[in-house]
Parts: sequence; structure tokens; C-alpha cells
Amino acid sequence: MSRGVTCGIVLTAGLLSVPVMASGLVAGRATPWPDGVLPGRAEQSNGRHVMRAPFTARRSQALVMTPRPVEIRVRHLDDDRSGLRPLEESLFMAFVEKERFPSAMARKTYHYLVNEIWNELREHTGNPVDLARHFARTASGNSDDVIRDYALQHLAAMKEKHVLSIQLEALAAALNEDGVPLAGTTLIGLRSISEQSADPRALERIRDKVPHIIKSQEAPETARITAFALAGELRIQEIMPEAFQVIEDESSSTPLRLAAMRAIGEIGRKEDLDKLLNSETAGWNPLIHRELRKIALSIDSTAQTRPSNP
Amino acid sequence: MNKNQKSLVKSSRCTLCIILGIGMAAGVWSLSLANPRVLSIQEDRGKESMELSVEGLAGHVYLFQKSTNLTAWSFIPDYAVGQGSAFQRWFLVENGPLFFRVLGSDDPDEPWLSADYNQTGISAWDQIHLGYNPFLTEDADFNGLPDVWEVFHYGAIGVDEQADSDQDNLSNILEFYLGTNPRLADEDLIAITPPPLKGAYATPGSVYLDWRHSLSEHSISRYEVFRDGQKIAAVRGYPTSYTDATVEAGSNYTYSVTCVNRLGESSAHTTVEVVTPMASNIPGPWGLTDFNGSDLGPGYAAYHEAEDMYVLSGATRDILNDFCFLYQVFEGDFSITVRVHGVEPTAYWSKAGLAVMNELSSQSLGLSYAFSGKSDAQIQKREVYGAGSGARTTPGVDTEGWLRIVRKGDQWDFYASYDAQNWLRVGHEQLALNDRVYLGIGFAGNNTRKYGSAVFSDLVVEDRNDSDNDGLTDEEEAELGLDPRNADTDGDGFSDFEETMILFSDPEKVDIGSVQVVQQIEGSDRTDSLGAWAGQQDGSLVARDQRGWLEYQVTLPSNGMYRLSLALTEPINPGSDSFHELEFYMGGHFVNRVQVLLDRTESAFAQVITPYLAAGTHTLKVFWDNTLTYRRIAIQSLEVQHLENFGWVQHRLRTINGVLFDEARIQESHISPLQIEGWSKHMDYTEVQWTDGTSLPVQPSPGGQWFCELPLENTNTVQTALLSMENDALQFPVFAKWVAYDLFSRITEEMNVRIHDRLKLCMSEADSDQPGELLIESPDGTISQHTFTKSLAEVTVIFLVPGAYRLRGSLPGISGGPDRQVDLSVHVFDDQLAGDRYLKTSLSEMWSHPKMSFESEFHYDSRLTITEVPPLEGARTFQVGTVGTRPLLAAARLPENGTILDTASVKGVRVSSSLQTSFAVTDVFTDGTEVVTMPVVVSPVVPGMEVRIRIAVQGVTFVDGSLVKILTADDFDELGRATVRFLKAKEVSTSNCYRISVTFPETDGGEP
Repeated sequence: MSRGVTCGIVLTAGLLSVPVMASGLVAGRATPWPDGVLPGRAEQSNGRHVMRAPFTARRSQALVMTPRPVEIRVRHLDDDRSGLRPLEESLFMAFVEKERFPSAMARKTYHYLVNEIWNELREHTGNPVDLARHFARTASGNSDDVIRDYALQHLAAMKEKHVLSIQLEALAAALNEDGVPLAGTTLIGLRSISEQSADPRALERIRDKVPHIIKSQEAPETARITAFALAGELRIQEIMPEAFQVIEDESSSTPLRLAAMRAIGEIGRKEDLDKLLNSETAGWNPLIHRELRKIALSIDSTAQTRPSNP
Repeated sequence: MNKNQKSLVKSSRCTLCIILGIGMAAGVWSLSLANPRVLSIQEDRGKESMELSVEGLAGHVYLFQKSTNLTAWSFIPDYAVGQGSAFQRWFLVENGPLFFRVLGSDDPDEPWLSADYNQTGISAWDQIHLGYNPFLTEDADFNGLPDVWEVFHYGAIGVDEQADSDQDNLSNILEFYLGTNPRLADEDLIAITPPPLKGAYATPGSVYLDWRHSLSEHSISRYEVFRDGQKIAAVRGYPTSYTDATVEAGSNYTYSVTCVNRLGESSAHTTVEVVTPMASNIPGPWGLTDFNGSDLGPGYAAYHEAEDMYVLSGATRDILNDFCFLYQVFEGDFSITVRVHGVEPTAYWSKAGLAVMNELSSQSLGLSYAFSGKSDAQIQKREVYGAGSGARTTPGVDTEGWLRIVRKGDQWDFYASYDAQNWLRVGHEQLALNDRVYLGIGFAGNNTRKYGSAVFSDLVVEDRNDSDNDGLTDEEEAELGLDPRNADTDGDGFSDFEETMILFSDPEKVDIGSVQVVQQIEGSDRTDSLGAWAGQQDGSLVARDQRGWLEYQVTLPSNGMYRLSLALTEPINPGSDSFHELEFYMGGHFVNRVQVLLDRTESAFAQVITPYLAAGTHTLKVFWDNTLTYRRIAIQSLEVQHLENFGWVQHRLRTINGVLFDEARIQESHISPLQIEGWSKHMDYTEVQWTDGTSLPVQPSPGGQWFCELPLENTNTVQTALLSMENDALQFPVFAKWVAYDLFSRITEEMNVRIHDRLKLCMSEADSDQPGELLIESPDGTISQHTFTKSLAEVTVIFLVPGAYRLRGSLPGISGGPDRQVDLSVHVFDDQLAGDRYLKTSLSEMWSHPKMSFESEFHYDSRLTITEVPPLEGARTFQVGTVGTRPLLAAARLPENGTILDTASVKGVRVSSSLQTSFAVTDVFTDGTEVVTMPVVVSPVVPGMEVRIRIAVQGVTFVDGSLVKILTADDFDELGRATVRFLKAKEVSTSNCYRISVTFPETDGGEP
């Protein structure tokens, strides 16, 4: 059986300029004929061929080319294959932190652009520590909740091992905010970190916080949905009463009930199935109906290995 | 401890354990069960070492100490990081009693973890977490800075030791020695320093001095400028420059600058000798004007040949107005580039940069792009004679760097760059100017009562004219020997662009005749298809879905190359960005990829030239490589065109096929097999047949090239291979001969070969009376001996072990003289690359080759992005990226462009989702919950791959309530499509809700 090759974000860490000592020549070989994608043409034989921009696209055009459709800005980010310059990094970070909002750009479009900029920074940065701090600052200080949410996502997605303490500190801070507005995203971030790192702190914090968020009256419903999903994934038993409470509450939203139901399916016992089926919540929504059937099958097939309630 | 160290997470848990070892002689060990728990101790008397097995708690760091008396402890230069499992360490055990101690903790503030053992200014805790041994100081990039210091402060090694990133006038190396933070200005640490001079630039009427800020414990009050010992100016505030416009031409001056802080303390002086030129030394065709000048005096310019720098000085108003303008006249389209080193900020909007004027008048129409002394660069344009000029700031473009203006008729593009390599297009303007304009560099101080200056270099004017509008610039046409004013130089009806870039015919000869349509197929007349298509009444075929392929049967009346022309439109929502990509395959072989900009009504043509094909019916497959679900395409018709051949076919064949050796000569080699190389656009149609009729494998190598091994057997006999390319359209014999290497010819003393290569040797002077001797010492120490006589004139050596062989030949001396000896070193390479590699497009990854030596060469297809990086775990490593999805080759070669040792391909896999496909709400529940459907498209689908999608935002799950979805190859249809559905709670406000990653199976030894 072959091993997997992970194609995630790679720590390039500014290695591009590092001289490599005592190695044989490294040389590119081009085809002897012009090669690449042929330009198609409009109309007659001598009609001018339609070519893309003659100069290398630059990432920074994503910021300065105004007014420009956001798709074109993002294409400038994606097309650029060159290394990221420190000045560019600073420029991008300042763009976000100073909350420079391009004129005539919708808020959602701005969110999209910032997200793409961060994707680019994460992929090409030579200074992961600075970038992690930038995400941490933005996650705590930006006036836009969506941007803060994105910052947490990107911070958690960083794989460089020496930013771990920055990640944990910033995510912990987000979990301690009043009303925990971004608790769900933060928990997912911690989950992602716990999958990559042997450090136990991320997982400990999830196990500690998930029941609190599920029980919290302050936490937004979106965070509770995620908390239930993680409780199921991590088999956090103590959320069972709240899970039943949620699925029996007809005012709960579909995703919340579904996540609670799935959590019961993951960690519930044989007798929980009867309780679930008796809750009379199954029929009105196709997704819940389908999930309930799957859960029933799952509990049934593993009934022998699941302990009964005391 | 600095700020960064303090930011590390603290923990209250700290554990420590002492292990007692009582001498080798006693053989008694004590074992502690406290944490860190020692699981086992084993002694190895033969090697006088001890193995410790310790339970490593996750998150804990472990250091080791030894002592002979339990009083004085010294660290063993080693460490371990707990992973939640046992780890082992081996320690040397010397004579006498010896005690070992294991220290373990997860508290970075623990004294033995916060200590700095290797004097790098970084705690042991931080060093270990960066992956470095805190007792060693490595400097892999030989820049004098410890690697850990570089990684700690900059995230990577390779830092320029002389750079000053925090601009506090302390270089990185100085910051390291001072123990200061290189990312934080350290002005407070330093006593007042003399201002470092950046430059002194003289013109016939001015001297411009430019310096950097001094450092001072107290704030700087002013700089004082002295000329020949007399103070001539005090410069206060921001500027660090001064223009002295009271000098005379052809004179010597001594200038010095000193810094005065707020306590009145002065720094030492920075002194420079300056000689003003006798007269303007500006080289032609440049001229200087300052238009109306100012009351203070004229503008000046000078050229400093040694540095290739220009300096402009003047007391001038604004750019495009009264300003110092170094210009030349130019006709037609152009590109002008300059590097601006600095602008003296005599006013807020003093500027230096590029300018283009219709005429030499301060009222003239014109454009400029200039850096400002204090703010971002600005584009200015005067559209009406005598009117003001509108300005537009280009944010983020700093006060120094490269600028470029490109003219294409009335269209003007503006670019900026930090490094002259990567250009940022910052703006576009439209302005009708004369065909013949004045262009050049300009300086405007925005202050007519004070002289200011600016310094420039790398001034280049390029002819960008494409007078005949054929897609090739005049310069490119001149290089190719074509007529830049005639789009079709040879008049054969095909543009120069088309002939040089697509047809590969000869653009200087009428080698193409008339175009004859030999077959016309309506779009809907496909013989097979995949995807959703709908035939229309007009005969076209319209896509009903986001991608697909079509097959057509193409019938060729005779052998040859044909042009396939596919007429296309985009029936729905075409825009300025409606670029569609199509791939053409003939008989299952890739032909080309074409990008066309489509319109709703007017046809566009995707055209390719087929390989040389035999008469008869062939299957053409056209793949529409699209991922956006809202896009549609209409295939109107396919034409098979015959381009009358007056020689273009041969020209094309010889352009896209060839050999890298002189085909007219016999290829002589001392080594068998002999590797021959060539290139071929359609490699599938290339064959080599050996003397005995067997077909030899032709293998691809980087840059569209191929290689083939000829198994030479008979010495001094010419053997023949028949090389056929393009379905035998190009065919010629290759003559090869295995020639023995005469050891006493002394052509070389060193030779590189591959493992299993066979080297034929001889000693031409050896005979029965004077037999020659050959001793071969192989890397494994075995020695073999051979004798050369008349009857045994040649010896074949097969190299079966990698490494250095030593061959020593000897012959009896001439006329009773001493024996003659000769040495030949043969380095045998056994390099292997790490196998083919799948790579997600637009990502770069490390590619390590543990079985590749550091002496061999690494050649790669230039369409790959490849950089060699420091070795990973001792293996030669490259950072590799690819944009396309076609496999591209890399090869290891013997040194000096020698024989290919091994090849491997990089295969790009493009993963498209949401914005590259679509993201649609497909169901809404009464509580406002949305079901969002998203196609995921993968090209190509790789068996064994996994696409992992993880929800990243709160309130979103997959429709089954989970947070993770894994798609395997089986989940994708034949066109590489799969669909995932999200459940989005009503309150969710973000659209960025998932992360996607891909894992590929290991291929042929590929790395994990």
C-alpha cells in the first residue's frame, strides 16, 4: 500500500534565496520551439492574435488596480508565480490591518479579496511568525466580524511548527471573549491544530470548551452547531442531555438539531436510539429524516460494542 | 529574554529526574520511576555506551546532564522533544563513576530552558521549538549568522547579513553581535553616530549630497553641511540630503556632514571629496531642458559613467511644467524604464521619474510617472494644452525603485517594480500624443526658491513598436530578420506571428501556398462525446454543462500535416474575460492546448497543426477544459485544412524535431551504451531502430527532449540506428562506433560514468615484448589486474559499484628507461531521482532526492518553477511548482551536461471548487437554513488520491452534520466532477467556509 503525499500549504520560509553550497548545476531547459498554450484568433488569417497581458501579472495589482472586478484582482494573485517580497507582505498586511476598503467594492467582495490575499500570504510568506502575529492582531482587533473570523481560520491553518504558541494564544483569547461570537470557528481551528501537532493543549481546550459552549446561553447558535459536531467527532459524552434537549426543541434550527442528532449517533447508546426515535422530530425535514435512519443503522450495528446506560 | 521569547505559552508543569549510574566496573544502574520516567537502561560494553529509553511526554522538552561527583553537572549537547511515546538516547560512558540526569519540562521559563547555551541570544526552549540543537551553532548559509537566529527573527535562513530590515543603521550581523532585535529599530542603544553617506553627485553647477539618518540616544535636531571647512547649511527635519548650487564647474570641494542632537552634541563628520565636471557630460541622444527655469538659476544634469547614474538638479516647479527634463525624441511605440534612487524632498510634492511630452513646452500635453520625496508615486496627465495636469496616486509604490511607461498608440501603461524583475502594472491611461514625442527622466522640486536633486540609473528606452500590428514587436521582427512594417514579410498570406509562433514555417520564404478545406464537419456531427451537449438547428453543438469532450472522425486525403480549425462562440454571457481553453488530441496523442477569447456572435478559431499523419481516417478529440458552471460554449464547425506545401512542412518538421549531435558524423564513444539525444514535439511518434532490427526505447527528458541508449557492442565497427520522427516523415541513420580509450593518450585524468557503463580501454604501445599492465582499484577495495599485449589489445571495464575507481596503467620504459605510468580516476554515479511526483497546481512543495548526489546536475523543464534549497535530512532538495496539468520532466545528469542518469516527471493536478466552479443555494428550509451545493472539479483524477474538505467556520456543516468530507477518486465522474453539499445556518455571514487539501499516492518511490 502506498503512502499518501500531502499537498497542503508548504513552509517555503524564504528559502528561495538561500545559496546551496557545493551542488551540481541546476538548469532549466526550454523547448527549441515556442511552446505553451496557443492563442486562438478572431476572424481572418492575418487578424491579430489575442494574447494575455505581456508583462508578468503581479499580486499587488489585486490592491491597486481600481476600479477592477474582484475576479481580475484575484487572478493577479493566483497567476503570479514569483516569490513574495517582504514589501509586498507588508503591503498586504497593512491593507487589511489599516482596514483600507477599496472604493466601490461591496463588503462581501472585500471579504473575498482579503481571504484570497491571505491564502496567497500563507502560501508564499517568508515570515510565518510575522504573518501569524498579523492574523492574531486582526482576529482580535478588526472591526469586521467576518474578517476576524477569516483571520482565525487562516491562523489555524498555518502549519509552521514555530507559530504554534501564537496560534494557541490567539485562539484561546477568542474563546475568552464576551459572548464568544467566534467560538465555533475557533474550536474548528483548534481541532485542525490538534490534528497536525502532537501538542495536547489544543485538544484539551476543545474538550474543556465544547460543553461550555453547548450549555451557554450567550454563545451564538452557529457556535453551538459546530460544538455539537465536534462533540460527536471527539465523543464528548457530557453533552448528551443538551443534545436531546435540542432535538426535542422544535424552535431549534435544522443544522443545530442535525448536529445534535449526529453527536448522539456518534456517542449514544442503544437505548438512546429509542429515545431519539420517540422524539418525533424526524419527519418534517428530509435531511434529518435521512440522518436519523443512518444513525439508527449505525447504533444498531454497533449495539454490541456500545455500553448500556447505567 | 526578549519579547518573542516571552510570548511562548507558559505551563506550570515542570518535572526533573536524576538517574544514577555507578561506573562501568560495578555495572550497576539505578532507575527512577518518577517523571520523566526512564523505561530502560542498557549498557553496551563493547562500545562503551549506554542506551537510555525515556518516556517522552507530549509537549515536554528534555535535556541531559552528566556528572562524576553529583555536584558539578555538565550538559550533554543533545535534546529531545516528547511525542507521547518513548525515545532513546545513547551516551558514551567513560571510566569511573558517572551520573546522568534527565531534565524534562514544558515550562519555557524553567531556568535551564530559558538559558542561552550557544550564545545566540535565543533561549533553549525557543531553539528546540524551531528544530535546532540549543548547544550547537550551525551556519548552513555561511553568512556569519547562526541559522537559529535567522529563523527566529526572519522565519528562514538565507538572511543577508548586511541588510538592515529595521533601518536603524545596524546590519543584521551587527544586531546579532550586539544582541539586539533586527526587526526593531535600536536607536536608543547607540550613541550619536556620523551620518552614513549614500552618495555625492556633482553637476557643472551643483553638488548633491545624500546621506542616511544618524543614530543617537537623543533625538536628532539637525544635520550640518560643511564645504571646505565652512558651514554652508543646516538641514532640519525629515530630509537627509542637500543640494549645493553655489559651486563652479571644474572645481574640487571637500564636503562633510555632521549630526547634532537635541542636547547639542555633534557626531563625527562624514567627509567626501567632490570634483564638479567642466561641462555637461550627458551622452547623446539625451538633451536637457528646464523649460522656463527659475530665478535661482538653471537646471543641471550630469552622467556618472562608473555607476551608470544620472543626476538632475534644479529649483523647479512641477513635473510636466517647469522641470528638469533629460529627454530624447522617439517615434512610435516604446517602453521606457528607469530606476530612481532618491528624490530630495525640497517640498512635499517634489518628484522624480519618467515623463513624456508632446513638445518641449511647459504647456505641452504629456504624461509622467514619478516617485515623490515623501508620498506614494503619482501618474500625471495633461490632456489640454496649457491646462493643469491631473494626478493619480498609485498606493503602495514607495519612494525608490523602478518605473516604466509603455506606449501602444494612444494607450499608456504604467508599471512599478521593487527589483526590476517583477513588475506591477499600476495604471492605464488613454491620451493621444504625436507619434514623435519627447521622452525621458524628470525632476521637479516643487520649490523655485531652493535647489533640489534626484538620482537615476538603469535608464533604458526600448522600441515596442509593432508597426505592422502582427503581434511581433519591431525589435523581435528585426531579430528574426523580418520586415517590421509588413505583417506578412514573405507575402504568403500567413502573418509573421502565425508562421513563427504557430506554423513554424519559414516567414521569409513563400513556403505555403493556398489553403484548401479538405473536410468540413458541423459541430454537432461528433462521433462520440462526454458531458452534456445539445445539437442546434444551425449545425452547431452547445454545451449544456461545465465541461466535456467531443470526438470527430477526420479523413485525410494524403500523408501530411493539416491545420484543424475549430470555430467557436460563447452563446451565454461572454465578457472581456471569456477565455476558454481547449485541448486537442489526435489518435489519443496530445497535440496542443489553445486559449480563445470568445464572443456571442463572432466566431473565434482554435487552430492546431496535426502531427505528420498518414492518409486515412483519424480520431480527433477536443476537450473543453472548463470548470465554471455558468459558462457555455458552442462548437460551430471543424475544418480540416490543407496548407499547400512549398517547403513549410519540412521547415516545421525540422523546427519541432531534431538531434543534439552532428547527424552527419559517426558518433564515437569509449563507453557503451552511448546515449543520444534529440527533441520532438510529438514524442509518441519518435522511434529508434537498432542495427539488429530491434526497437530501442525512446524516453522523454526535460524541455521536449528525448534520449535513447545505443548498446554498442563491437569495437571499431560502425553500427547504425535508424531514427524516425513524426511517423517516419523525418528519418535518418545514426552511425555509432565504440572506440577504445587509449590510457596513454592522456586525454583526461578524470572521467564520470554511470553505474553499469562499460568502458573500453587500450594501450596502443603495448605488445608481447612490452606488455602493459592495468590495475583497477574499485571503491569497495577490490583490485583487479589486466595485461595488454598485441593479442589482448583491449579490456572492457564494467563499473558495478558507485564511487571512485582508480585505474593505474603502466608500460615498460623506452630504451631501458623507467616504467611509464598513468592514472585515471573514474567517478561512478548511481543517481536516482525520487520518482514521478503529483503536485497540486499553484502550490510549491519540497522535492527531496535521497539517492541523488550533490555532484550531478539537475536539469528541469523550464515550464516548471524549480529552486534548489538546502538539503533536507541530507537529501538534495528542490522546491518545485507547476502551473499546468501536463507532465513535465526533470533529469539528473552527469556533471558538465553529461549523460542522463535518471528522469522523473512532475504531474500537475488542478483542484477547482466554489469560485472556479460555482456555489449555489439549492434548498432553503423554513427556518432559513440553506443547502449550498458546490461542484469540485479535479483534472486529472489520480487513482488513490483523496480530496479532503474540512469546514472552517462555525454554523456550517456538511448535510450529514459532519465537519469533514473526504472525496476519493471513485467519487469523481469521468470528467473529474464531484458535488458536495453544505448546510448553512441562517446566521452565518461568511462565505469562506471550508479548506481543501489533496493527498496523492506515492508514485515510484516518490516522497511522502
